[in-house]
Amino acid sequence: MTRFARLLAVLLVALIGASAGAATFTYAAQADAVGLSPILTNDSVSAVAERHIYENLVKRDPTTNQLVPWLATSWETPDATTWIFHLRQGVKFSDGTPFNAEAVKFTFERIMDPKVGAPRASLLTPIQSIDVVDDATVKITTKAPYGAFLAALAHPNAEIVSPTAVKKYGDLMKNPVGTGPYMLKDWVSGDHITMVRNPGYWGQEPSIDTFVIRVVPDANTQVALLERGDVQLIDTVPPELVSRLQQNKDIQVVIKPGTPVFYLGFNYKKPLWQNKTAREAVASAVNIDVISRLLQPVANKDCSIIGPQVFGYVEGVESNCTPYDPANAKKLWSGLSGARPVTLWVPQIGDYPRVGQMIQGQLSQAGIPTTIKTVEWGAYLSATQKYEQDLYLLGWTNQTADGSELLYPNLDSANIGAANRSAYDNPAADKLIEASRATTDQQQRLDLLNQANTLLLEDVAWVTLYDGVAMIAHRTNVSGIDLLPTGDWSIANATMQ
Amino acid sequence: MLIYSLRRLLEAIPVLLGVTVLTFLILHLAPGDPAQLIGGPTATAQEIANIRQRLHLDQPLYAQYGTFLWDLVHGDLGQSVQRRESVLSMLAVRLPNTAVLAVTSMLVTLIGIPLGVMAATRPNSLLDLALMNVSLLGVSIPNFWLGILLIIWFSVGLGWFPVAGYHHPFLSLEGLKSLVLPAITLGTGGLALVARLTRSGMLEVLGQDYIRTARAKGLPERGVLFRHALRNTMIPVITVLGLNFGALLGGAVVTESVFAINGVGRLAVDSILARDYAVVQGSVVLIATTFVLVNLLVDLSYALLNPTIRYA
Repeated sequence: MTRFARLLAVLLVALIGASAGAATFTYAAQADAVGLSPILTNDSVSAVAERHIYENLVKRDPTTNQLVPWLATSWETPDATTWIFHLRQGVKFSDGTPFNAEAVKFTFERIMDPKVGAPRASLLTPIQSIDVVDDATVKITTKAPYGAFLAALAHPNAEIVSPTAVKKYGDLMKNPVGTGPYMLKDWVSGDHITMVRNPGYWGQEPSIDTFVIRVVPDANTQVALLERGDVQLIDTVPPELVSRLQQNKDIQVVIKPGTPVFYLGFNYKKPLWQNKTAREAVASAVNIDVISRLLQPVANKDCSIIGPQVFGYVEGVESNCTPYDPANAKKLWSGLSGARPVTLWVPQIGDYPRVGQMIQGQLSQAGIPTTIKTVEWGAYLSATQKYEQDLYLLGWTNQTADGSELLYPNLDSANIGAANRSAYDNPAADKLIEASRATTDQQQRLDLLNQANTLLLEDVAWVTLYDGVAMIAHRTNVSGIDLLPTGDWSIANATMQ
Repeated sequence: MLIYSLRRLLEAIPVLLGVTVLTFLILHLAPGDPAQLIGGPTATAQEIANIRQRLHLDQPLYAQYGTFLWDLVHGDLGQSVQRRESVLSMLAVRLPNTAVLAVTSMLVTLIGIPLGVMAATRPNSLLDLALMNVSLLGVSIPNFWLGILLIIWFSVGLGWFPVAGYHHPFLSLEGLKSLVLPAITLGTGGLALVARLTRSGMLEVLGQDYIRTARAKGLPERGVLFRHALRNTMIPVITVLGLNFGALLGGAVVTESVFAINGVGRLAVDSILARDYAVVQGSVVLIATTFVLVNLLVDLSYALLNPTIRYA
């Protein structure tokens, strides 16, 4: 009998232990992941799953936001175009394939291969060649010095994939295999993704066993699920629902200043906007104070192009912004030859429509007759790349948190026809931006980026409206969630009671 | 009746073909580019060109349509350009969810028939007035608003039903509980419409000579109402129910979004927004086929309700 009781006790302890350890963390996402190949996807939900399945050579420290070694333990740069990375030993992909220099070479060459059609291939375009020195060492040569190289390697699209898995499955959209703390268990398309702990993970074993991404498109429903405790985290809270969540003692809303920048752009293909006085008139008419107040708490007031959370920002640069002065705007616009009613293009997504309405009101008040043209997101991306717009609203999330990777795509003339949706063409700015990319001396880069930022602000290249925030709302029984200014978050170090 | 049915099915082929041509043209004429959406605002011109090539979007339109049609006659709806997943398997996952939602909300809608009869038998009474005003409210309430209210009251407040999502299997207590709120949300509008339609039809029929004759013969009132009056009222009601059911099977995007149901409607709308041509085409083919079939069934049911209608 005693033996039986002891056995029962052991079984009970085992059962309780098992149920206590079997923590399932559920995140409600607004959309389904497009796929689970970091090489082929560029959407935020895919990135959440991929961040837990794959890893980069370097990553950003969640507290300091500095780049720190990860799958690469150290690196050296014998000259400005050579990077030698020493790789972590004893790491395996979840399919058993060893992580080594071959895997790094394979991943990066695949991203760069035009036939693969990787959406962020341009991150690695500066690479000339990748050589395997030995299993634990890889040498990367760039065509010219590439200042933002480490930031690019920390980008979600540069996560390292298992070469064996790619050869086996063709791509990893449905069969992700990485070195990260989690691996895919099942995926019901459009419904949910379940990930479980990777038993062979080289690092500290995550405390949460199961990570579920559940597709819940409606923001109100997401909030209700979080309030009921059916999900543990949401990361797309409409501003008007934030205070409701903040009042709930079981929910913690974490808001950090973020890297995204939102701006009012000019289409320089239209002669009117080539005139700096016209741009100044618009900039003087826009009251960014009111806009960031309207969007509280998801916006931080900022007039600088490179914001405080992005490398290249230097305090005090704001003195170069055009100050809000509607009287001056009126004066400038009335004295402008070629002044005409303007059309503000607004994408029908997120907070843009209400920001658009505010700007329309402000411009009209300053004597700049403005009509709004609201366009569906897909059509907007195409139209703005063909320069059909006049004035327009857009943002840049800046996953690399590096100023070069903001200015080069958006405002360098080399990217007219692509991400430079204003067709802004300023040789002096080009020179500074390209120089910031072409040196690996970080202090020099900071100076160059600050000069570029100053020049662009003086020239009113665009009107920065506000900076986005990194925000998550989670149940208070979860702690230790890492949140970066880019909005990226991870539960690898989180615990759940 | 068999020959009639076969003829109707054959007639459906050009209809479906027309639907695919129209969808294809509308999708390609609409501004927006799937490669641009996959690349996002950060993509360079070269990146977009590479994506277009990978997805064969650089081929001429007639070649793309030809490939789609060739695959279609071979029973293949193609592959999602965005997700690299077979369209058929994407639809197969979602169709049962949509079908269950359609059937359960149809059950809610059917409650409108007895309510309409009740209102018609006591015209202008307090009950009639109340039922008709409530049904007016039912027609007017937007789906998404009703859904959110139901969630706040019954899920968050009282905790009776889950907030969102289906619980499998459906035939379990949890499964049935997960169907209640979506079915009410989606079925309420139809219920109100059917109640009003039944009431007006019944009022008209109840004034007919044959009803007076039936009553004069001394038939019990229940028999008069349900066997003689209601049956003759049903043709317009069945037509509306059929159209409604066809539309429900095509997916109810608002209800599916509010309750996080992984259905065909949401898939179609998400795919339109992502310009995922193959998925939109596949969904439209499925929705059009369902519609044609449900309409055929409705037409055939006329003969059962009214023996003077015959199909040859």
